[in-house]
Amino acid sequence: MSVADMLARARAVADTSVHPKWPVLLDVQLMTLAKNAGLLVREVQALCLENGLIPLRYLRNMGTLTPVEQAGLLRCGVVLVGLGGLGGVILEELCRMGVGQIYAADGDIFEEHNANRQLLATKKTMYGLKAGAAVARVRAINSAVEFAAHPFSLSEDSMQKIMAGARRSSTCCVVADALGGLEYRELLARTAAREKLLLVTAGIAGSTGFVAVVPPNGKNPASFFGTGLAAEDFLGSPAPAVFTAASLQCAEILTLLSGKKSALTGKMLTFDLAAMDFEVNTL
Amino acid sequence: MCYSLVMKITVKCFATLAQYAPSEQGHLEVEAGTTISELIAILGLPVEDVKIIFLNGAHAIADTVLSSGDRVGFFPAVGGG
Repeated sequence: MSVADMLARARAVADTSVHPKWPVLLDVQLMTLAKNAGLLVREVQALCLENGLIPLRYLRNMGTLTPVEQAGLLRCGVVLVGLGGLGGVILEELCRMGVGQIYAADGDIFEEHNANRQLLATKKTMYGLKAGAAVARVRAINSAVEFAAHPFSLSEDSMQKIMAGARRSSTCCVVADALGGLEYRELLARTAAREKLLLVTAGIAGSTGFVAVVPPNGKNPASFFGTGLAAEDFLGSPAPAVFTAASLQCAEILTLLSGKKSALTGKMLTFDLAAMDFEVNTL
Repeated sequence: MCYSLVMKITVKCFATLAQYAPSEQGHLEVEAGTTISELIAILGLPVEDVKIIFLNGAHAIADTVLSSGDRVGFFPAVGGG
C-alpha cells in the first residue's frame, strides 16, 4: 500500500463524530494502516497528522500543539539518562505526549528506598532492572514510541554512542539529565556539549529544586556543585519535588523539540515548594 | 543631604541553607556598602556550602556590593533525582 493509498484509507475510516474540527483515528486503526503500508506506527501517525487526521490519543494535545507540531514530536528524539525519580516521570510524560524516539540508560535495579518517588518502582518491578521496567511501561502506554533502554552504567563512550545514534535517527534531539546525585552530571554535560546537544537538567533536595537548559558550552548548575555530599543527603528526595522538577523538564523538552523559544536556556529555575516560591535566574 | 546608614534587603536560603535565613520572609537590614561576602558572614552561612549566589535574578559573585532593595539567594549543592 502506498502512502497515498494509506492516507485515503485513513480518511475513509476516520471518525468525524468525536470532534467538531478533527477526524480521529484509533490506535488499532493506525496499527493496521502501518502494517498494510509497511511503515512504523509513529510514521503513520505523523503522516496522518500532517494531513489533518488526528490519532485520538493525541486529541487532547491539540490547541497546545498543532497537528504539524505533534507530527514533528513523533520524529524527534530524547536521550534520557537515568530512569529513577526524574527519569520515570519524564519517560511517562514524553510517551503520553508522543515523542517518537526515546533512548534511555540506567544500569541500576529498583530497591525499596526508591518507592517513595520513583514512578516505575512498584512491588512488581522491585529488585529488577530499571531499564526492564521502563521497556514494559513504554509498551503499556504508547506502542508507537521507539524506545531503547540500555541497562549499563554510565561512561563517556557509551553516552556518546547513544547521543550520536539519537542525532542520526531523529530530526531534533535533546538530552534529559535525570541522574540522581552529582557524580556523573558533569560527565553527561561534557558529552552532550561535545555532541552539540541541548541538556535539560534538574535536581532536588527536600522541597527545593532546580531546572535548567544548558546549551553546548553554556553554564551548567552542576559545574558549581562539585561531586561531594549534596543537600538531598540530608533532606531526602520526596515525591512532590521530584515530580515537579521532572514535569518542568518535560515542558522545556517539548518546547525545544517543537522548535519554540525555551524560557530556561542559559537560565536556572529554582523552586521551594514549602514556600511555593519559583524564580528564574540567569546563570 | 541625608544618607541612610542601613538598607533593607531580602535573603532566600535554599534547602540545607534555610536554617540560616534571617526570617521567614527573608527581610534583613544591613549597613550600606555591605558585600555579599560580608552578608554570608553576618548570616553565619558556611562559605563552603554556598555553591551559587543569585542577586536580583542573576548569578553574582561574593565581592558584589549590595544595594537597597536587593534580593539575594544562596543555593547549595543539589543533585537528588
